[in-house]
Amino acid sequence: MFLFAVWVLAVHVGWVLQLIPQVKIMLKVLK
Amino acid sequence: MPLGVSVVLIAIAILFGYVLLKVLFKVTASPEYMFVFSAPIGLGAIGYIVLSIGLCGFLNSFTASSLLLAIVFFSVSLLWRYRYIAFNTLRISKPSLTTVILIGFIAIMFLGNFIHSLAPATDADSLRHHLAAPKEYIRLKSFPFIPVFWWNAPGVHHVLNTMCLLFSNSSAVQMFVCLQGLILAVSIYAIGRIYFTHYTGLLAAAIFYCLPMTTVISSTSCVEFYVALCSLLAFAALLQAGDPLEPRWVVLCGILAGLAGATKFWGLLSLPALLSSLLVIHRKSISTHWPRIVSSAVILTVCFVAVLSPWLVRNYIAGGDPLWPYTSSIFPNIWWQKWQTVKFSRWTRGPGASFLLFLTGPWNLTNRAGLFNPDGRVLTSALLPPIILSFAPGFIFARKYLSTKESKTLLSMGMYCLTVYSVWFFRYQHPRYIQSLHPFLSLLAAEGIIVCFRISGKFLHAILSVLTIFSFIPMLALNWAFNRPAIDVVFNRVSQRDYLAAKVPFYESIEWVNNNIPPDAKVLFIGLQSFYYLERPLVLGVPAYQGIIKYDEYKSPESFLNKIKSLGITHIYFEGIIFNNASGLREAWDLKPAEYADEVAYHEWKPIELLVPLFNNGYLQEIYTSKGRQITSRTFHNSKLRNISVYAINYPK
Repeated sequence: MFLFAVWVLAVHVGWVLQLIPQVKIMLKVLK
Repeated sequence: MPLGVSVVLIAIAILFGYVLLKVLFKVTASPEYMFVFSAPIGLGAIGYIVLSIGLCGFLNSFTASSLLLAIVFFSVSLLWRYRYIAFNTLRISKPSLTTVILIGFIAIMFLGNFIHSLAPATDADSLRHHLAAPKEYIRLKSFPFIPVFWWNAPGVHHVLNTMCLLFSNSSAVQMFVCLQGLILAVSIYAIGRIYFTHYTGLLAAAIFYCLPMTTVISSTSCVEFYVALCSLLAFAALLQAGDPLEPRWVVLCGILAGLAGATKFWGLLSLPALLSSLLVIHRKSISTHWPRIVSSAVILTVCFVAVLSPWLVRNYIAGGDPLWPYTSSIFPNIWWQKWQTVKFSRWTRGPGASFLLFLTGPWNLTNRAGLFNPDGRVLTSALLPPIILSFAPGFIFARKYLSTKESKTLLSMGMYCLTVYSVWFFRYQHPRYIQSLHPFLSLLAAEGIIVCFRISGKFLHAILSVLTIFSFIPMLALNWAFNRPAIDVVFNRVSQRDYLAAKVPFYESIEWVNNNIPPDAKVLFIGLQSFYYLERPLVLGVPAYQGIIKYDEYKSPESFLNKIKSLGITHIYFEGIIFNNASGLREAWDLKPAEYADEVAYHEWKPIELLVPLFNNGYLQEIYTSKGRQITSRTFHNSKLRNISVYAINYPK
């Protein structure tokens, strides 16, 4: 289960890192 | 009117499907299962009846409405004796707070999609195929083989789109697709509830419905939802067949898989995926019960081919290739040349096809989404929330907490996904072509989360809830960003014309053609964008995408002129982007390579070699030239300026 928890965390961190450069674009569209 | 047409068509399809299941297949299942199976079966049956009418040349609104009335009369008269059973078995209990929240979330997402689907069509693929082909079928009152790339894929859904267009406009088709998305979510819930738990079903439906691809497809005329619905329910029928492999469910499985294949080429993958799932479901009894398993596989395959056969036969008789043009190397025909196959076989997407990339594919699809888009953008319909990749493999880690039934179902779902993913990965890594896996992945992820909830304490409960909400919120924001512009046009704050001009590639140029060339004109359309909105008959003239005009066959410009005269062409619409964004024919001649790099380049530039001499000799007269907007993102308002020209043809007397 520890491995699974690490996996879940890694996926979420990876996803956030991918989206950080996109936040500006997203906010512009949402305005 | 669009809403009415789509709701009535779906309601009649469900009614008809219910009758077929009850009377023909003698199926008994829970009310929600009967409902979800009825929808694709009924739609498929209507699609095939309308196809038969169309192939006989009687396609019009009178025959279509008479057919629907006859189906209603037939279905109600047969169903009358089942009315008490239908209503008495439907029980609704008081929902919990989690249920209300998840249903509320789906409802909010649906509302955005619903509003967007009422706006006029702007999706590029719809304007090229899913609406353009049905519009042509209505004009021809039939479903003939037309050698335009993508139009001759077996097209059950194109027949249904034609039905909607017969009675209304593009919004009816979009609404029809939007409602299918909802039925798909209900199907996911039903399967989740029956094989796992109520919350698995509900969470899986919410995960599926929050995906950006679900949002985007919901407001288009695309066929993906029907493929996914048929694939998922074919799998559910296989599970329902159980250990004795009840023949009626196996037949139903084959028919549904056939409907998926008869809707989109990638739907054909449902057959190998179901066969591999069949082996996984019955892996422990293969040695003892192999004759039954083999005979079921044969029945499944026969039903699959039988459903596909009308399309295959039509294409073979008219085009010489049952799956034109994809199997043209096996069935050479006059409508497709080798260089066209060479051109399309060069198309690639994704980071590559090594074994390591195969293993890391799911990670890349989730966390490096830009790799799968030609322009590297991340915020597209292909974006997946982290919840799927995180929890879909959960059942592998938590096997000891699962019942045998749950394990078997999850393992066979995993096998289904692996089969489709493998072919997709080594053929063409377009994220939309594995959309049919989204319902399966949603169920796997939801069950992973529910098992984690089951075995964890309060602290982990809180973390899991946060992670789940964390995935849902950005998806809600994307749904809003994508659907918001449509609110303005649906509620008349922006005119339809302005909306289309901003969202549809080259709309203003096409509008100019509609307003300025004679009503009896016929257009040679050397372009690939938005021709659904052209209100004149057209012949597609881009060399690679059609088989009507083979430019290399004409030895002189005059013989080419005779050919287009015989086709009744009066005008030529010319998208410069096809020829290095040339501003008209003269510039295209200047941009033409002195020596062609290969056979593909030679054929693609051949129209210029024929058209420019005609232009220089006064047979073509430029009547329009302008910069049109090629829309690269409807959501982020990105576009590029491209040259568009229109020519009138002066035939020699």
